[in-house]
Amino acid sequence: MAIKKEEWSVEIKPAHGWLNVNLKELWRYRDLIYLLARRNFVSLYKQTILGPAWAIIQPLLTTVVFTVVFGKIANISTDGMPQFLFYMAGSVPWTYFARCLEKTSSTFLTNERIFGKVYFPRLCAPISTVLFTMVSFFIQFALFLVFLTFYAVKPNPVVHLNWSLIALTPIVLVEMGLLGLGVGVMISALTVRYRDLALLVSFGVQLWMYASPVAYPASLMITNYPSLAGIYMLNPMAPIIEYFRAAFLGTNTFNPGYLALSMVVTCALLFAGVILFNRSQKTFMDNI
Amino acid sequence: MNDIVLQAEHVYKQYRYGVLNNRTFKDDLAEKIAKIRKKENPLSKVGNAQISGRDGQKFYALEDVSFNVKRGQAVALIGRNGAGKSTLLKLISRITSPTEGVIRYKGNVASLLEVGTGFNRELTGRENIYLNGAIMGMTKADVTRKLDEIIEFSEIGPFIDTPAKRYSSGMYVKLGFAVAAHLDPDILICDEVLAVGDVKFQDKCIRKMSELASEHTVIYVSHNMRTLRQLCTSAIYLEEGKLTYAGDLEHAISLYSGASAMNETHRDFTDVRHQGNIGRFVRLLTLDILDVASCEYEMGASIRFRLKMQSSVEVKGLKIGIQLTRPGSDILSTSLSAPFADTKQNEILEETFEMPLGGLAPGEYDARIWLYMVDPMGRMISYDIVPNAFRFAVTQNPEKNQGLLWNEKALGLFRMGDIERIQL
Repeated sequence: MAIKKEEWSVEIKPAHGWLNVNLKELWRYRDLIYLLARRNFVSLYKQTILGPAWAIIQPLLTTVVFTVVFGKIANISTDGMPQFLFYMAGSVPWTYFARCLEKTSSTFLTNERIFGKVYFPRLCAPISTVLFTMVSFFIQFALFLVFLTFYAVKPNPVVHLNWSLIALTPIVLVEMGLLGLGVGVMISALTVRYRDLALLVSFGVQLWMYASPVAYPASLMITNYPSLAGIYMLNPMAPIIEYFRAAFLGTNTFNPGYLALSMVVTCALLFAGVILFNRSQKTFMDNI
Repeated sequence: MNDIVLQAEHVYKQYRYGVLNNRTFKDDLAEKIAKIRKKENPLSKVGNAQISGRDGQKFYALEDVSFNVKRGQAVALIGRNGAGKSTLLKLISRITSPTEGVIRYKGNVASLLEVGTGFNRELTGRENIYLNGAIMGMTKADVTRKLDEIIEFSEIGPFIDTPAKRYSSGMYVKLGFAVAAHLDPDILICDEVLAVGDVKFQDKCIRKMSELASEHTVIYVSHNMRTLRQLCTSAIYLEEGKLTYAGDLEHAISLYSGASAMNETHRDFTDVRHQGNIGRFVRLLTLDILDVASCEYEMGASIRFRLKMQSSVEVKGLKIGIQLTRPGSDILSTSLSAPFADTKQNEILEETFEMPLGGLAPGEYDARIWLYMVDPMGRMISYDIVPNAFRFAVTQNPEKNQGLLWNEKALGLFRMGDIERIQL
């Protein structure tokens, strides 16, 4: 049997090795990623009474709660911005990131049936989740822009748009998606082995939120604990939210260096997440 | 020119018994530390001896399985439940990885372990075709090209733009099969998905499948030997995770249904487990085939046998019947007896019988013995049923068939009475 190795199109081997992520194959399945995202979207909004309105109601309520609790009652500084806009500028990107993370972290559990019946690159599922979550983000972001316009057209507006930063929005948006994806798939790979991690996810996301400047300005943290600023900004979400506020509200506490750092951390987390995920996808059916 | 498109080399797949995923972080840590220290793993994974560790015994679902499939072959994968068929299919379709060994193939594989995977109830039929097709590895352009064909095959017609939640379960599976049938892969893997829809649609599916089987390389798993005979040309037979035979389909089928060896003329049924009332009042104890050393008969001969039975109730007019099946197939025919005994309580009877084989054509047959009586309404009241009680063969003998070598595919399984020339 003198078959040369290259003649075979696929070799199925034991799950050894870490670095064999097949991106070419993933690209071949791009239609599937789109169709899965579409399926999620259609089935989510067809089953609810208010449809896409839910995407609006949720961040609106969060913002109102933040405004009342942190703004009015605790009277935390908002860098001189209107409180409502300030909290919304934090909670809209945060919600996007948190949803990406939470949903992708249960990839194996939610897709157990389909993964058990047919092969396709498993990464298609979490990627489509990120795309689908982006749709809700756009709805929420549009709502944010409506409020922003309301404040921006007032005479002597407090907010001023920083157009050169706004141009970066798509990149930051992709970064958030990839960050949510990276951490999410990392957790999903671990939950296959350690089931109790799944219980920690929503709690962990909440903790992470308080470690990010969503309900308070980063300046508050940095002025109070200047020595911890570097560590604080290692959290990739901190510079991202700071960026949103700087770009759309015009706060002046944003440091582009931290955003670059955030991107480096994102890449590292994504890389680690994809590798872990890739490793566990090969045998997860035996463990689930 | 080498035509092997699928090859398995020394494939092993190991599972653990008992609770899955009971690993804790502590276990993993212990394992890693032991590995670093180069000591033997305390929760050792692969050992030849089946060690019972904290996390249950390990066993091999597949053990040293190697085979080749050539282009255009339609291979049946046969084995009892738990023989490793599904595991093998899962490995080939890349749902899980082997513990050891390699599986290689050329071209693309489509595996139908289920019809309509990923169908969504909220999407319309058309949208589901696209989604299902993409899950199976088609691109949007592929699906668009075949869309009309798929819709036509599915018989869904006007409902194609209706959400799938309004579909009957029949329409659901029809649509699923329609997509699957148009995948056009180099290697197609099927797991008993054919039994879908109504009888007419099932026929259509089987016709489509044999069409696919003639053009593609197909690996097919089913417990229905009739469909296997229709679709496949060769077979792989698995027994307890080991590949025990690869080759001729008929031989594999006879291995699969191999109730008893042909040369076994004495059989003991006292250990046969019975269900419900079957075997409770009257039961068959032993069977002896008489006059022969091995159960091979000429056409038109008779089988003589002695039965020992035990009866715990009074039965008036006990009869026996013998049903013939082809190994692994449906019932072919039945031979009945006249009432032979009125039993008393706690009686052991021994009777000798003779069954003429009539026009039964050359081949192998399984016999199922039936003890019953007939109530005044003409209904059968079964006392005992022993499936696969014995196996026999009718031998080829052209002299008995007007010089013809009997080919069952062309001529059938019965030879009717000969046609006589008459003069009026």
